[in-house]
Amino acid sequence: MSADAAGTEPDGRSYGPDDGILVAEDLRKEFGGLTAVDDLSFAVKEQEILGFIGPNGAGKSTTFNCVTGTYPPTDGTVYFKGDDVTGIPAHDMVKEGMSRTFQEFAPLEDRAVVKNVELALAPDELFTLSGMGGETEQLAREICRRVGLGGVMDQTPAELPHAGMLKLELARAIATQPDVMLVDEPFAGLSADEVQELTEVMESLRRHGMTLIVVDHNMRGLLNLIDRAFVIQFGSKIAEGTPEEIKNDPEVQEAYLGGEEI
Amino acid sequence: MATETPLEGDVDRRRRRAVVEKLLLRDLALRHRLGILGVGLLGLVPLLAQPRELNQFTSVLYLMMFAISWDVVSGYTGQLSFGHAFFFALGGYGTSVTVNQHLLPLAGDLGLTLGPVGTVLVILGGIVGGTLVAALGGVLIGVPALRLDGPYLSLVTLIAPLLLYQSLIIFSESLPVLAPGGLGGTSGLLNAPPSFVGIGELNTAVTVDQQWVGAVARYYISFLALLIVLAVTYGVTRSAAGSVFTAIREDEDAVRSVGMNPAKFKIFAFVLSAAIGGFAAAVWMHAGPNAAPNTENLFGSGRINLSINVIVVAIIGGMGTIVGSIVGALFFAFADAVVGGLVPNLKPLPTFLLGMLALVFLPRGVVPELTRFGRRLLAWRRGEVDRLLERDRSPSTLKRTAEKYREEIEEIVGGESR
Repeated sequence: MSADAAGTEPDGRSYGPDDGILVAEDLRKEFGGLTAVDDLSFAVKEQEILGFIGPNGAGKSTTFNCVTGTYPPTDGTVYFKGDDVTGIPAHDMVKEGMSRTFQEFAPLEDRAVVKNVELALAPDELFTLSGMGGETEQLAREICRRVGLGGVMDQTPAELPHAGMLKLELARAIATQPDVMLVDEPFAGLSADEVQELTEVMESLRRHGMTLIVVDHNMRGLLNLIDRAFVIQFGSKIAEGTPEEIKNDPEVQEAYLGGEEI
Repeated sequence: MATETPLEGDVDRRRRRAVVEKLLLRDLALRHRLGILGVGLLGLVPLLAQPRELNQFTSVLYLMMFAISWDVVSGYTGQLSFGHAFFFALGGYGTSVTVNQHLLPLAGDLGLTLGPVGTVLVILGGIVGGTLVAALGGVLIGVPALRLDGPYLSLVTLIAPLLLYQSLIIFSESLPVLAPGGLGGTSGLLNAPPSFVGIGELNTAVTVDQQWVGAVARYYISFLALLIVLAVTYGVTRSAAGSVFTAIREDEDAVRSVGMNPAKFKIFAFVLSAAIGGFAAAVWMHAGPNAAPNTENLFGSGRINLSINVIVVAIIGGMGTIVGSIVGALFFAFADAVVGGLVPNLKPLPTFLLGMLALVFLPRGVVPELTRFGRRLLAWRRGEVDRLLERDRSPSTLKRTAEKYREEIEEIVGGESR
């Protein structure tokens, strides 16, 4: 997918349900008098890796909390696979095929890493034989190996290093078998080698048909991964384009002036 | 996405075969074999005990079932119920009213003379009725309280048994349609419902002529009820749903984030728990020793004692284990009998003392501690010497549940330590 796929003009163009696998149209979220997301519109194409970037407090998390159903938006519409999914509960959104990782990960401390992943494979049913034949455990082990947790999957999450926790979050999201996966700050606090390892995992997911949205406050580490970046500030879009275009965009540089490096 | 997909092929058939393998008890871990041995030994108790002791022991079986019913919801999902006697009372009164005020008068109106088989059928009808009433009570409390995150269930369960207690007094003469004969007030229903087996009493299904035969028969009926409760709770908690329950105890958001609705699982666990508590109490009214539908029996003395006792029992044995409740009830009854026999006036003290000792020295409960000790012993026998002294630093279920509660309550009242 290239930069001009979904409209490169930073000015407001309207989006319809068929503009991509995930489309937000005039999304708005107010908390009391504070507008966290200000009529934001964007579209994510199938099998693309989109970087969703903005300085701290720009409204990235709020946007995706609205999109994934953590709380309903004040106004606007979210289309997923062409259907209106605005305001449906988070767990139903996962069933629709959209999963996410969390920055403040909270793995289940009472069970091994592989069991954490296995939970994501359990069906949302009260009476089930799922797991009886051991096949969900096999699948959970396979997912652990894919994300690089092969050697530590029988340990408890408390024993994992920071990178291991990020991988576990990724594995849990993968195990829900999503079509679109939202990855929140996957590279925070990782070494260059670990960034490379996770980049490869995400690229292989994309090759297998997954669409990824990577949320981060800067583009460090994302340059080799994303096809397109979408930059927001104060809840509105300020730029959209290839990573190179974004780096040279005057408005983006303004937004990051005196703060962090884009 | 995986090239190797274990979900291919006839998964359903493999799963069913795995279930059958489990039911045939092949390849059991040592602790499971010990568990089955223990349940088998429970079945042999009548060979050893005198009739009077046996009656006492039969009531321990009901304590086990009550504690299991608490454990299913509170031990597994971490939603603490402080008033489980609410369900015991609903089950006990439910069956008594169903049998004495509905089914028996109905049989009289129809001019039926009930033989042993007829009386047993009426009793079974009453047990089903009591179980349903308790389950309905679970739905009424659970659906509103459990759709919210946080400790709201605990608050509601504190009050529900007291409200029920008052209702028994308010409707002591008559409750229209539901209980035309009334609920009997604090002294309970004067006419106990018919029992399965008894000596020469008027309303028993089967009359025997010797005390001990009756005691043994009642023991085995109670034991059968325990086996049913065990089978149901084991089936549910050892399936994938059980791992969702414990995940809810750890972190509801984690469950939601992988596409499952925590409210659905919490409500199911709660209603199941209510039904089990109601079922056990209902069977007690027809097969237990000292079976009378009154507040002293079904709420415990002081209106809340039974609710507290089941919590103590489940925690001593080990929260979230099911079998822990069985072991815990044995400890509890033993302490109660020994200390209560030595110093009769200190009645609730020994049990609470036992609870405190368990909290300090065995916070995980007897069963999990023994399991861990056994595992280390086995590892040591395999030659992994250092594992014998290994310490597990992960906090116990009880501690984690209590901590989560503290956080949630602080969130409500605006505490500062968050």
